[in-house]
Amino acid sequence: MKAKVVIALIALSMTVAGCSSPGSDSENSANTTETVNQPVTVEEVAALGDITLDVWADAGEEKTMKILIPKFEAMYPNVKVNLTIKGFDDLMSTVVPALAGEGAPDVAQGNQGYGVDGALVKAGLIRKLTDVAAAYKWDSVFNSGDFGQFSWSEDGSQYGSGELFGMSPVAEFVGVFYNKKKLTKLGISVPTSFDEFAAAVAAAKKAGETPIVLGNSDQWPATHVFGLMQGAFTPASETKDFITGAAGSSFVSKTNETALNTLRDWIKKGYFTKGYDGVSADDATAKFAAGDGVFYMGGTWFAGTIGEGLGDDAGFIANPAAGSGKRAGTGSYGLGWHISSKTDALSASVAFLAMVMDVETAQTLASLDRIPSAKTSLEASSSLLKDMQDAGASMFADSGLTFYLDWATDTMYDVYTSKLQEFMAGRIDASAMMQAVQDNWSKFQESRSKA
Amino acid sequence: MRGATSNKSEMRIKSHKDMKWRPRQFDLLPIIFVSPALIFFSLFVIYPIFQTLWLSFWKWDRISPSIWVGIENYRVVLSNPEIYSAFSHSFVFVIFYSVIPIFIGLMITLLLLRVKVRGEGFFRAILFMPQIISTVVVAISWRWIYASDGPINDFFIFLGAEKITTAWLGNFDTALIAVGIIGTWINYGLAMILFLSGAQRISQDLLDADRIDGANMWQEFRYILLPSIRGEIVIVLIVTMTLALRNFDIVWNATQGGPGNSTDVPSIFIYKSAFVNRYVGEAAATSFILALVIFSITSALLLSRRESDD
Repeated sequence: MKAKVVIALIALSMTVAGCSSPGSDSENSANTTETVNQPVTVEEVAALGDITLDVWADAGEEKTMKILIPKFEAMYPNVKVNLTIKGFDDLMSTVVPALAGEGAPDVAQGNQGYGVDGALVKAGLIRKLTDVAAAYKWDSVFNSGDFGQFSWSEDGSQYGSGELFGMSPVAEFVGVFYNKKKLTKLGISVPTSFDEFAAAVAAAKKAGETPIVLGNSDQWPATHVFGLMQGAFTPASETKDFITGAAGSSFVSKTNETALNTLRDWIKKGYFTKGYDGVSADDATAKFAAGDGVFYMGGTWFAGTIGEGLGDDAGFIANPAAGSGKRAGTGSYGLGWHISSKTDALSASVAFLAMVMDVETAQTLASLDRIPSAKTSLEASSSLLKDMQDAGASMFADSGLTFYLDWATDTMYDVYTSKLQEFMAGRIDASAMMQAVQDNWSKFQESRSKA
Repeated sequence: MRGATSNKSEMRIKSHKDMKWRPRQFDLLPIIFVSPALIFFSLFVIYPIFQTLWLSFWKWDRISPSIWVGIENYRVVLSNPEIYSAFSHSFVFVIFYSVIPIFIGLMITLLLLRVKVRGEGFFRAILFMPQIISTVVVAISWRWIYASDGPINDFFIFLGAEKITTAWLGNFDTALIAVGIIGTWINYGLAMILFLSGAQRISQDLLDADRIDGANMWQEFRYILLPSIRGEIVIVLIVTMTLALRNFDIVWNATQGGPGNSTDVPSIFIYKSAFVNRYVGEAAATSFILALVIFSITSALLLSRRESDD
């Protein structure tokens, strides 16, 4: 009897589990094919009747949304915005299936690169925004050379050019924070070139300070440090070509080798926090903000913590340039905003995105310690923010935002972070590290061309 | 042997026949009684197992239409050297999550059997505490303990042994052992509590007689304690080995599998495949392989227990 019940259960489970192929009931068809030729009017949105606009955003947008959503709802009284805020990791792991499923959000943030945006474009889950960009003349507000990070061929096979599928009103990039008081005490001036930066960290070490505060237990912070080294030696265009999958690109290069070996040399000389692989990014930031160390190679998103801790003693410079004199380093526009291709409230979605991207929003963003990507003059609320705005301007002018290497393939993050850690610990050499990254890239490009 | 078995069966049949009150026809009542548990078990255990098995035969990224690939996902997973290193880390964790806690649990039990401690209940509760604290809290606390400027390194500096200080979770050579020790700290309380409850079955007369005969601690351990709590040891082995093999939360919150891949385990592999990289079929195949490994080990342990009981 017992055996019969178990067999019946197994049979039933197998029948239920096997009755259809996974995902076969998902509906990916686009609802909207209409083109946006003019900025959306209040009347057009009002014609939708009382609606709820579902918006998914990263936790970093919470403060911005708290200001923009009431403004949006006041301007379009028939629209109620239903905002879902998610932590970065949570958003990245849920936004793709959410946009694929029933009840997909109308507007959502993705992430540049093949892992998230590439998957969304390929599956037809997000709407092209080329027409919206033209209607709102985004190319006059933003540097059109930066649109490539949101541009894809329509089938999602080619990255870096083609149709625009997303946009962000902010830039986030890695630079060098410094403690002004410490620099003065050590008699070091703010470095303006990579050689000066190298001399400054050497002097800090000699004086018994921790020259560069680093916490890498989360594995990604060291990739940002390497991104700055790479930016100093490798032309930004080469790094971007590799990330966007341009044919013939290679990570194995003399300049990347120089960058890696410089990093290893600095580790051997004890320029970074002792035991950095056992310190989290948050703890390292908190230590620097509390006055530990002289430099901190980190993203602009740490400005809040560092500014709060060091106050007017906090300074920031764009990545010091080596031979070429051009500023380049890890960074990009913020997480791109997308419109779902299934939205049945296109005009409201476009109006929402337009408000996020509006040049008038730039000052709101600046007041929240963010770096607007719009070409406009802004008031800075602190000297640190002013430093970051200036650094951003020099990076934009040199087209120096080299994106994030993990955008290059859907599994690059794991390979890149783990191999870089192994390299930094001296377990593999620069050639092996570069080859591991290159192999992952080549395998991905091969599978794409087969697909 | 065969005769004895058939005698047993006959006795069983006879006793069944003797129970005249028992209806001969199919009895629905027991099924109704167990049906809530049966439905729950089917929905949340049996069905997901077969769903996972089914998914493991498909190539699916959670958005595009799935493609039937047969056993290709298993071939991909088994040809990836990193999965073997992940499993090897899990087997190292078996030593720290299972073998060492059992050893510590046995030692404490033996000690409490011979020495009466005032406030034993209090100490038991304290020693069991790690078992009931959230593993996320445990992992984060240990991250602080192991930090470069944490109490362990402070202690070594105090002893004048600064040379051996390191970022224990950030060092390729120490991270795996450091994570393993967290597991030992969590699990020895479980082993101790179960062993102590088993030891309570040991008759005081037997212990007294044994001591009058001059048995030493080792003899008491070998000939009285071990045979008495064999069942508990197998239970603890099954529970802790399963925890070691499917370990995710402690590793994820302590090291995320790093530095490099030095603390990577199959569960992290599964999580990243399924939810970060969206290779659902490969994640399902790895899950099924992991489940098979755990099932084989626990079955072997249960069988060995049954055989030793016979």
